Amino acid sequence: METPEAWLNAWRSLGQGPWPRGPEPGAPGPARVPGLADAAAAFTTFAEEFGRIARSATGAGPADAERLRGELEALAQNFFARAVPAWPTGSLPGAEWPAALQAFAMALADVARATAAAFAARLLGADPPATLRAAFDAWIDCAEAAFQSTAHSEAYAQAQARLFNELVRARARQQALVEQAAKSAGLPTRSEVDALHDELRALRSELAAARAKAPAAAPPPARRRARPRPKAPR
Amino acid sequence: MSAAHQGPAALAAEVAEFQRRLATGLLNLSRLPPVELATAAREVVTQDGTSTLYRYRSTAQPAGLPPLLIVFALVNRPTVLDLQPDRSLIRRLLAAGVDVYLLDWGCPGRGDRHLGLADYTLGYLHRAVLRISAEHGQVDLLGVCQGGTLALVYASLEPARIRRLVTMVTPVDFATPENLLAKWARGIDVDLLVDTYGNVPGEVLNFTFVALMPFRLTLQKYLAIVDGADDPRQLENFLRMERWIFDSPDQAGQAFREFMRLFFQENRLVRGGALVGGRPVDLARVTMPVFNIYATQDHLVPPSSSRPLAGLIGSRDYEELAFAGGHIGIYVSSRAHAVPAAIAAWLARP
Repeated sequence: METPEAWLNAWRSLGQGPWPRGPEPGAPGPARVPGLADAAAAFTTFAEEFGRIARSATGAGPADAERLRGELEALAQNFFARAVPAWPTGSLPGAEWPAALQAFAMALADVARATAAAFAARLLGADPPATLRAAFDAWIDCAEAAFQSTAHSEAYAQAQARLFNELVRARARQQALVEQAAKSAGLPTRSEVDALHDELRALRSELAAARAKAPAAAPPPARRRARPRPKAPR
Repeated sequence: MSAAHQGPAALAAEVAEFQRRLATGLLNLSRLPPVELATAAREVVTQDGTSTLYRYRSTAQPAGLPPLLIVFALVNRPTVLDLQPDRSLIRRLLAAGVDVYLLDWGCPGRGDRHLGLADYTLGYLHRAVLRISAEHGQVDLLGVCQGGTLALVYASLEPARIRRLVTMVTPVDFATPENLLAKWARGIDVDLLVDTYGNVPGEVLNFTFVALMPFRLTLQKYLAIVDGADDPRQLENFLRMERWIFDSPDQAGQAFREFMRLFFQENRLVRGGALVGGRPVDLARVTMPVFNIYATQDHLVPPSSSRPLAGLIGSRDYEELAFAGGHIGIYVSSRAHAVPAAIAAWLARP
């Protein structure tokens, strides 16, 4: 059995080629994608190790079958243990996501429980709603009161912020991958366009300030009163 | 007798009446012309970047006052100040003889994500003030909601350029217990948000505002449309307000970052230490007369957030007006006419 060197080289180049290394210090460009370089290293290691096993299999006999099976199994386990966790999850939420969602859902469940209890008390109270619409409005009152009570708590604010931040983080991961793809294809990246926009803003600001520089730029006399103006013709 | 004890006939009758109103309302809605906002006559004075400076001409005998420059929030459009002819703060000011200018911040596009608070206050606002004072000598400033905070920043940096300052439903102290928005804002990773999105989408802000009172501002509000479904005028009013509420521009990323950090998260108007354009913002430098208007039922900017202004500014000439209503009612409720009348009277005060 010959080692498929071309295939192995393709793996190597995949591991070293287009993967992001992050911008040079101070240079414009995308931020480094966390984990992506680690994933690339894992792929390269996988390719090297697979090549070694393939070479060792050349001329191997039936007695080597168990050894080769064990090595391949270990290789697969190592690959999934190293490369998969390191691989950026793109648009998928991160590991924090389930806990953030659960904490927020529990806060909303508290609101639902408090609403149900208050609404039941209202229905069974001395002055229950007399119409369906009044019952609906009473339910709104109960739900809003329960929500406000929870929403003002520090725990709710934290749960909501945690969930929100995690959603934004997922979007950031997705964006980083797109940015890397654009960069590897030689397309302008968002970071580069943003840098140009910032320069443009600075230039516009300077231009507007220069245009506004006129005698009128001096502060007006403190007590000067504007004269009444005649009504403008329409 | 509770709804649960109503007979089936009574409940069926209520449902039938609801459905009749709903059908009438849908028919009326389909016949309504498109609603228009901000229809008062005005002229464009200047356009500067994303911003536009408008001038409205007084419709009454001019009161002989310096013009009033209105600075609105970044998070909504100023069209609510002239929502419709009979619900218009601007028209009532004009009718009182006030010469009104409005600085409309516009809608930042993708290329404006780097606009910061300095660009808004020391750039657009400052140049608008220069333009007006070049013609009139002096300027009065009316800052509304977040625009009031921006007006305070500007007035503290350029106090000599402002004759009098009016703040309306303006957040000053962002750390009071009633301020739900500020509580929620503290845990937000604003750098992550802005670095990811560039500009912060208006939809994110809209969702947040609705989430402050989720049951009233969704289920109850939309069910209540049926109450006025027989009246096309009420439906038009409703549509105008809806159009305004959901007309939220994206927020220039850098300005959003700075506003969130300086005010919502670090409460720097109260604690001090805010820098805008590298210059320290110190409310003690606000030495001109100040008229602070707040709404007693305001769930977005509670009175406890506005009223601390009295103790922070350097001016000894400070007055307050408590409006009995909410954050939106102060512009459009049946009692709202009292607000422009009070502003005009205060500006004309010796």
